[in-house]
Amino acid sequence: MNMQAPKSFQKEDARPKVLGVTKDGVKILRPKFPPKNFTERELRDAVAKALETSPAKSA
Amino acid sequence: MNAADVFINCPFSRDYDTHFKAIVFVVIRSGFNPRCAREDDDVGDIRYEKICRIIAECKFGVHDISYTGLYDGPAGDADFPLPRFNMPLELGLFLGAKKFGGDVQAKKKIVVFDRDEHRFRKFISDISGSDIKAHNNNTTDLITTLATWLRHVSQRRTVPGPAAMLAEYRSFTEVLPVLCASQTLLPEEVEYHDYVWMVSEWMRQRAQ
Repeated sequence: MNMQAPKSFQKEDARPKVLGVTKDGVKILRPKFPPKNFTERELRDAVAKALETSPAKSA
Repeated sequence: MNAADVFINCPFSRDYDTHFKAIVFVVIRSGFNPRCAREDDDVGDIRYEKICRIIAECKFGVHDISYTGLYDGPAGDADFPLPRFNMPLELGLFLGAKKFGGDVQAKKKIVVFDRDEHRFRKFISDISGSDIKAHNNNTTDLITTLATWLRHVSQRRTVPGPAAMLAEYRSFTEVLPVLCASQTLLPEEVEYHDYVWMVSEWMRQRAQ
């Protein structure tokens, strides 16, 4: 029986897109799919606003 | 296969949602991309085909078989109780891809979570020898164990240690209700794609 895997199984990846880098050097990758109930701008604004009022801002 | 992609095989029921969100958080904070069956059907996939495609693309697999058990169905359906088999099926697919998928797929790394360390021997003993971890049904154990595992198998020393990961997750859960409220949503109502973006964007901005 031929156990050869399909060609698509054998491909190595392209480099993922990076959204940002944390202070400890971890690359936060850009999500593969767009948000559904927000635009990206709305999300950025919502996070910025939440962080303004949050005591924890260091990583 | 993508070295940054982590396949998450777990229940998608409401009572597992806290665990699921914790796994997604740890995966993103460790520098990886979460992948799961909740992704969009952009090519009109049937579910099985979609899962196979995602599994083929992921180097890492996080499998939680803790919900393997008997469940009641709709009232009056005499066939119930029946087991939920989707998680063991997807675990089997992942193991099959690793075993028979050629040299690239053979590099896959797997961790399996259950309620305790030994329960799996009573219903899926053939996976003995695999990396089986207990999360004891609590999010703290799940986060710390998964962070430790990802740090170890990826050999990335930048992945935060378990205590740091846990502290960050707690910080994030404090702002999650505020983020959701901006779209008049409750945290338990937020959709998968939005949650992934919230976590990623929060981490990006927090580092600035």
